[in-house]
Amino acid sequence: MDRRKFIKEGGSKLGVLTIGSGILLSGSCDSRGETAYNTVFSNGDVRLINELGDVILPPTEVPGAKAAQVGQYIALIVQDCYAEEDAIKFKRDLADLNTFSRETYNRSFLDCSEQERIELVSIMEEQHEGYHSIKSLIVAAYLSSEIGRTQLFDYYPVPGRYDGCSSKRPW
Amino acid sequence: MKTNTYEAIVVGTGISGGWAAKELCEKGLKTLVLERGRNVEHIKDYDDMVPPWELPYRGRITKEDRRNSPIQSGVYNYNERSKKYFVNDLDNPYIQDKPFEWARGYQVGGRSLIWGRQSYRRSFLDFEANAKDGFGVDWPIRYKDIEPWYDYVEPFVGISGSKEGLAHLPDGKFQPPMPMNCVESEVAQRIKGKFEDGRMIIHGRTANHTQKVGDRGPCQYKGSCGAGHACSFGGYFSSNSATLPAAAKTGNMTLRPYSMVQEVLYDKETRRATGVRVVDTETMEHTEFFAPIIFLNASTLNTTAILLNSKSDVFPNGMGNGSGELGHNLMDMPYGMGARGRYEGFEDKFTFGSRPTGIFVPRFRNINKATEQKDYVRGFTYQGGAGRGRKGDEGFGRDFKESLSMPADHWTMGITAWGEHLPHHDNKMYLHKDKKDKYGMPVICVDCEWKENEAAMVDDMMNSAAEILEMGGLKDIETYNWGKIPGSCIHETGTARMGKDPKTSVLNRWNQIHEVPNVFVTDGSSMCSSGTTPGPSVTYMALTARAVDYAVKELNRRNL
Repeated sequence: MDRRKFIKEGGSKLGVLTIGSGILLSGSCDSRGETAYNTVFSNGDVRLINELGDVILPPTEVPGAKAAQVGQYIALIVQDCYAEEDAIKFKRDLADLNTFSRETYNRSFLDCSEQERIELVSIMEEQHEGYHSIKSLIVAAYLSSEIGRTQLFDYYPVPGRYDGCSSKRPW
Repeated sequence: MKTNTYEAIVVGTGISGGWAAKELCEKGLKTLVLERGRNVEHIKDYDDMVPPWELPYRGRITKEDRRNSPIQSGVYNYNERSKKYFVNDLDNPYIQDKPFEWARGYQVGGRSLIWGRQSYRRSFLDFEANAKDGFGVDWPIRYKDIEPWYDYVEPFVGISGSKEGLAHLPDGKFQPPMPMNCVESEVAQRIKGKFEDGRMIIHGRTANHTQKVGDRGPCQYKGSCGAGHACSFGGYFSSNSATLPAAAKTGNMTLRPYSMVQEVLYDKETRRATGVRVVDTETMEHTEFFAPIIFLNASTLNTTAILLNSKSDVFPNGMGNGSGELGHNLMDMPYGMGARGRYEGFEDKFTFGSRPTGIFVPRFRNINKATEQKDYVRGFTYQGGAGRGRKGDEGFGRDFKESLSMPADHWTMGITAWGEHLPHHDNKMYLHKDKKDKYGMPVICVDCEWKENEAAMVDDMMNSAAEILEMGGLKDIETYNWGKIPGSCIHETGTARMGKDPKTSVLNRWNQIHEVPNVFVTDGSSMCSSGTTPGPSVTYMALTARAVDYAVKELNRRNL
């Protein structure tokens, strides 16, 4: 497959998507007929972020991104904290990802098998700018979640002392 | 009138107001302490122990925050948890004739809840500087005048630091310092004696407690103070944890939140201030309160605004403004120039705990003939530290997830300069002729900039930092300049300066208004110079304790 093709096409399609979208897709349904999760995201978007999250940060001895509800947190902060243009870009990156999935496997990311999702992510790791911005937010969301803070790392809310030369990893 | 009469009034509850309250109450005066914002009770009103993941945004700032507080939301420790200690900018407008970032916290405790906590004495150099190079007016005091008052306040503040025996950075009554980490100690060791100008790395001096101060502290190294989250352990000095409880304990304090002072009242017969006019910020009701002693500690710009707004036949241009200097000579401190680099070594070492301070490089410019600079006067210092973060590899999946716990390959270290801002008459604040805020107070306009001397330091601040790191063995050193605008250092000072001559200054050597001897101003507005070394608050504390001591003696001598 032509890995470059996606980037060009994805970009142009997204141009269409954002025409006239001075406001975000408030309360609307997406193409899958999904109901709104909040003013920016559909429930499908949240599922997509969670499922993508579980490919990037799968459940191991420590629960993964989906269990940490990265999708719900990201939907909240993109809605409430992101500047409108950044929120639009994030939505575009998500749509872009599904476009790539459809072009590659003829179905949306959520309809792909686990193996297909892994294949898609491994391709996007190499070249997909939009994917990397979603990924970095997923990682930040995971690391700041209760699971990330207390299970992936040791959590010391009250260290009680400072050791400036410790042989033990402090997390 | 009788019910509104006290023996002293303190306006403001921040660093200096808290000290005024404590000292006046402990000397037995029935003291009314006025605060324009809400009450914040130590521990009870803090949320520093709520785990970060329980905050809806986990610390992030929302669009609404940025809309309501476009200035405050840019302050370094403004976040989801600390934002309640910063003002809503829309409700509290000011006009920037030139860019000026004014951080404000209108609540009991003021900015003592969110301050940087670094605490350094000023030295003989600072008090002699204006006289020597001719900028500003000469300080009416010298180091020896304030030294006993530093000695007095520091043990109660609880400052951790190391004694170094430097005349240009006087030692204080310190608790043991917070330790350097292994990279900092190594770099400090490597540069020792290597610079002819005496550059050295010492422990930061900070109002974080390594030992208990009464029932406060010690520091638990949980990192909440640096993020502006307050501290349920009382591990750092704030008005809420320290001075206000001490004042309350005497039974002499009446603390009145939601009380914005707009004017100091004056009686031209007695030539004394009689009290203050207060607007209740909830009901908008006006009330007058009376006392024979008034301490203004509303913060530099607000204290000055109150005086400028206190107009009468006698003071058509504002109370105590016979000199025309009220509102002028505004200073902050230029900062944010420095260098960072990578350290090779100690790869098997880490830091444990969140230390609320770092290392410090004392001033090394213009301290004697040998260190005199051709292109600028005064000097600067550095704060900084070394640390080691985590890394994440490329990729995704199980290995990627595990890589998130890997330590970064190297430690990094950086140092950042804080420098002096010279007093200039045309760096100023004034009250807008027509515009008023929703409480009816004229809006403050700020017209302040960095000038030639500050600009002349910038390259040296960056370059000298790089030299220190290079001597310390750091690699891949790069310099930076954060491009900070005036105000952003949150060290605004100088708009009601002390001085020997009433024709050129507002206050005398006791922080007493030349023309109105029963009004004392002991916050940052009283400064004659910004000083080279940051951490100005401990100087305000010392001056406040000194002024209260004088005020009460004068009261007893019936001179007020």
